[in-house]
Amino acid sequence: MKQFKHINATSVAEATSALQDNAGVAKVIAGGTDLLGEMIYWSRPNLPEYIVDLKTIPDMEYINEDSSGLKIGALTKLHDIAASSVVQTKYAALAQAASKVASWQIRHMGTIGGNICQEVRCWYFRSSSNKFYCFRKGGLLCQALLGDHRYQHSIFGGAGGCVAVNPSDTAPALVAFDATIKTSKKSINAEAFFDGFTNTVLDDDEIVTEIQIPTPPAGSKSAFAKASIRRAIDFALASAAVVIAPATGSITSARVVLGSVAPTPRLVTGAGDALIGNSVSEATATAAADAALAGNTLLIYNKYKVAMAKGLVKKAILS
Amino acid sequence: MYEEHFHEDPFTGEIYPHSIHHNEATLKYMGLSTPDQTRVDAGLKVRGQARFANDILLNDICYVKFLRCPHSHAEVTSIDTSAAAALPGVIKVYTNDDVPTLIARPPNHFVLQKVIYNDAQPVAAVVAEEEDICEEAISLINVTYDVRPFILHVEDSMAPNAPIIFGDTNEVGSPFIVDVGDTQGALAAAAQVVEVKCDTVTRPWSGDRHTASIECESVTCMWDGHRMNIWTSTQNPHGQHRTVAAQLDLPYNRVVHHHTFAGVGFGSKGIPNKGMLMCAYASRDLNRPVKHQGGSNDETSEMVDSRSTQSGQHHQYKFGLDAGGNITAISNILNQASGSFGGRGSTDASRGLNYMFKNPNLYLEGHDWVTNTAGAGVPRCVQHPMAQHCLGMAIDVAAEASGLNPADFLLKNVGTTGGVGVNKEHPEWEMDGNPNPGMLQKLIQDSGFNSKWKGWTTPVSVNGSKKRGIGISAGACRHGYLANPETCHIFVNPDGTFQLSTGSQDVGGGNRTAFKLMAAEELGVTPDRVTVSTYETDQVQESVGTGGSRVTRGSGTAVILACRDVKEQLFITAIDDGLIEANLPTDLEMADNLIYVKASPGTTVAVEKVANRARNVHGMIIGTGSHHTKRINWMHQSWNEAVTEVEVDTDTGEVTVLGIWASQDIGRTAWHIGAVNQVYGGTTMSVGKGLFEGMTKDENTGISLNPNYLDYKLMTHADIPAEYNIDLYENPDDWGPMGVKGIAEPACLSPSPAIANAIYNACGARVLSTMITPDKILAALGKA
Ligand SMILES: Cc1cc2nc3c(=O)[nH]c(=O)nc-3n(C[C@H](O)[C@H](O)[C@H](O)COP(=O)(O)OP(=O)(O)OC[C@H]3O[C@@H](n4cnc5c(N)ncnc54)[C@H](O)[C@@H]3O)c2cc1C
Repeated sequence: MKQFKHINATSVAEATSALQDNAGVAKVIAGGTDLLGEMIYWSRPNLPEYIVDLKTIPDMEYINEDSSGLKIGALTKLHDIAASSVVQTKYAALAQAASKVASWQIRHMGTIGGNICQEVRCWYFRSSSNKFYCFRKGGLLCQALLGDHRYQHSIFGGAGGCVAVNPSDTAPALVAFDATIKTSKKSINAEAFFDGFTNTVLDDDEIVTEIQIPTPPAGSKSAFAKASIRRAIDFALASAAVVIAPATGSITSARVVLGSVAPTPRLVTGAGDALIGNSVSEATATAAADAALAGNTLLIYNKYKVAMAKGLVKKAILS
Repeated sequence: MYEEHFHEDPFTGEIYPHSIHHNEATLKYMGLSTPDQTRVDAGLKVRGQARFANDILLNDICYVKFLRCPHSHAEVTSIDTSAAAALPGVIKVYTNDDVPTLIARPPNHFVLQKVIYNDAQPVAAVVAEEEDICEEAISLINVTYDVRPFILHVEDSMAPNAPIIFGDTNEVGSPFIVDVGDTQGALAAAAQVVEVKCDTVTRPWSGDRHTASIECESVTCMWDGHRMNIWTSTQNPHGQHRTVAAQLDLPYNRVVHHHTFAGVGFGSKGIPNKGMLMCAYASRDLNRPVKHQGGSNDETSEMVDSRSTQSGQHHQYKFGLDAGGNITAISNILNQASGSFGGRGSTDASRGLNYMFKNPNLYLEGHDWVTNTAGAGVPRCVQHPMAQHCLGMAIDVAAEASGLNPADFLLKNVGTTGGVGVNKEHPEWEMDGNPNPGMLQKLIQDSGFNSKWKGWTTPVSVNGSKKRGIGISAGACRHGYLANPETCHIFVNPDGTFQLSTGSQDVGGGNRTAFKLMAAEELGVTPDRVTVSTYETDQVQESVGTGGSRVTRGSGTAVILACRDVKEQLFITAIDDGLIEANLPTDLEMADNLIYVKASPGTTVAVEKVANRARNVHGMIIGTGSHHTKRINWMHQSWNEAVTEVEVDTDTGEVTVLGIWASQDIGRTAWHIGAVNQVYGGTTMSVGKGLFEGMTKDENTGISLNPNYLDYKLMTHADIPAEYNIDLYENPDDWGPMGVKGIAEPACLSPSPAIANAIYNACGARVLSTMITPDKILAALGKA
């Protein structure tokens, strides 16, 4: 593993000042399930020299509900989110998404903050010993665009020249719920939080502190569907999160979000529009699925993702 | 107590003393499924007390790590290690110039390469006080390469204008040919000819299959001034012992391989490991213990670099069928990737067809081609499982063409003769017994295949986008053969207990437990009286390496011989010292911890009484079984058959395995729990191979894209079906000790094609490759 200096932060302020003191060479660590993989594999040149531990900050691990909605501390473990009865009943898509991440072990270490800030899973970018100096690392080429992009790459174009997708499972669910990401500096709408090239819009010294989800409309339902190669561990080949209100009868609001098919979670208003005014049925689900995948620009080897994502949108709507 | 069936070898006339068939009714300890038959090392393993190679830590230890080449074909033109050598904590940096002859596998598998034939081959090694310092130092080494054209695909290696990777041509050796009967004539006369192509590697390049042991390779070597001490996770301790001796120019008595437990092997741990050779060399050079451990970023690079893949196979089958669905002729042309070490896979990949079907006409042609990929080798079997994956799918295509239900088609065509003449290449050979049709009939019955099967292109059931299908496959492999050398020692303790040892490592398969039960059975003592030790290569004589599914048969033969030797010595002592009334040792036998007179079973003496007398009066009894079989490898077949049920989500292409019925031709079961677990393991691996596993390389650079266990996908628990049935089909084998056959590799044969066939039955997606992933299923359904 790449050697580094480890700093235990005991408050958000301490963490941000540690980031400022070591600007450009420091990163925060939460569960470490993503970051340490990069350190072990030496997968890119500018790995951090300093790692600032957030786990030593008290009171950043909680799931609270009040009249305005749900508040989740950034250090909350994915397992706890998946197992929370309030999340399961009122924010089902999020509980389902968290439950489908990786494996039991990783869900017990991985946090929601880390999940939405995680680095892409393109196997060129992640290649051990930095074997591909790709566009995302500052190189001139996206080797995935010209090479093997069958799993972790976009069917909706690239970010700059990089075609890696955002791999997070919870991200599409949070966008579907129109969540707000609260940071050490500001509050950002979830859709605007993600950036295809830099993962997030966070500054180098900025930390996610809380996820806020407004109470979903009365009578709504939500669901998350994911397709992957194996039943455990694997990242999504595609995913879909939907929030529909009301669950039965004529739909008045609907948000349909695709995951793992584009550089950021993809909120498709056209798909929501296809549902509004109709009630849930095979036909409306199919229409929404078709709308969700409109305008795709698939690559040579990931054409299948179009049919797959349509199937997932349908499943999420009909579930 | 038992009947002996002496067999005469058809070629050598040698009498096989080990072909003992205990009468089924008198077996007391073998093959029981009672829970008291626990694994001899279960306690140590469950408590975390078993010492594995990575647990070895010695005073003054230092570590070695490799710098690996990022190209698939290149030559090192310059290498600057000065910055690395200057890093505090670095002890020494080695390159090919320091160890030009240190070689793991000829002709070109040097420990540190100058010319690189596959990515991830090591070009330098750093020895340092800490592993992290090794890695830091590696990042400071500057290498320039002359990068050469590389070849990944077999068909690119075959192309007339292909660059020559090494030697004079890319073809390795001359083609493997079997030509029996008149295949062309029979195909011309057939009612129909079914042609099927199957490729295990597809584009973009992916499909090679790796060993993926649960325990990464790890080694510690310590030069003690006189001897090289080795601790490594291995399947073949004496083999590693000899390799290190040869490479370091040491006589055999100046090397010792100490026992460590091993977290399976699957073949890659039977062949010399570059980490071990580097540790041994550096340890003597630096006079310090040196450790190399897999894991972190080194782990799977080592697998990319090893000679242990099931490499790309491109089969072109032709089946001639008569109007009744009988296969009259089979022709198969196979082109196989040899990888970068000149190994041959096509012979193994072809041979199964020698004895599988009744077809009188057979033509096999196998070619091997050099590619810049890992070498064709041994992940739990050599090339049979991939070949059977293809054959099992191709047979399903032929069955559909015949119009018969696939189970009926198999029953009609599988070889059932057994005995002389079943091997088409060598009809004169006396082969093992063929368990068919009984085994196949039982499988069809147990799985309810015929009641579930609704017809070709008709799923078992449909629920929205989810369709269920059922598939079947049957195949045989030549593994589990008798192998050499076969050695066992037994010490008789004065209290009538026995300590047994063989040089065969137990990599987790449980052969120590099986030997304990076999010895108890043969000695006529209760299993608690028998302990099976672990090896130290300076204390036990060499016995067959744990590979080829042959330890229970190979070392098991020696166990039986040693037991007989011990009994004879006990009987002589008993008679000579007047402890029992008898004239000749052959008058006596043992059962229930007693020596008795065969003609008068009531006349007995306790084993401990005789053993104690031996100690006090004559000297200790040591029994040996040392044997060299003249039976050769191919005179063996072990059948594996499977039915599987799957559900395919035709919207997403995802496959869920719902049920597996796997049947294994076992000869006779030695240790029931271990045998069942072998078949579970083999079946699970087989399913994973069919659905997920495949090394992947970038077509543009030849660099491996998935040398880690996230992207190289093994089965997880979540992928295993709840309906999982294993049947050990007993059919005692004339040539195996107590009738046993080897089962570990054969168990990998048929589940994966049965899965592919079930997918086809479910939804009509005929994916004639491995890695039947959602992208391929959706493409086959016309959705991509
Ligand atoms: C084998 C494997 C399988 C996986 N499968 C999935 C999957 O199926 N779906 C999925 O979504 N993910 C998957 N992951 C990815 C990921 O590790 C987890 O989802 C996890 O949630 C990451 O959280 P963490 O706390 O461990 O992050 P860390 O590794 O600690 O951090 C990840 C990144 O986020 C940054 N970060 C962490 N917390 C904060 C914060 N509060 N503010 C600002 N930045 C922060 C870190 O600096 C780092 O760059 C998988 C990972 C592995 C190793």
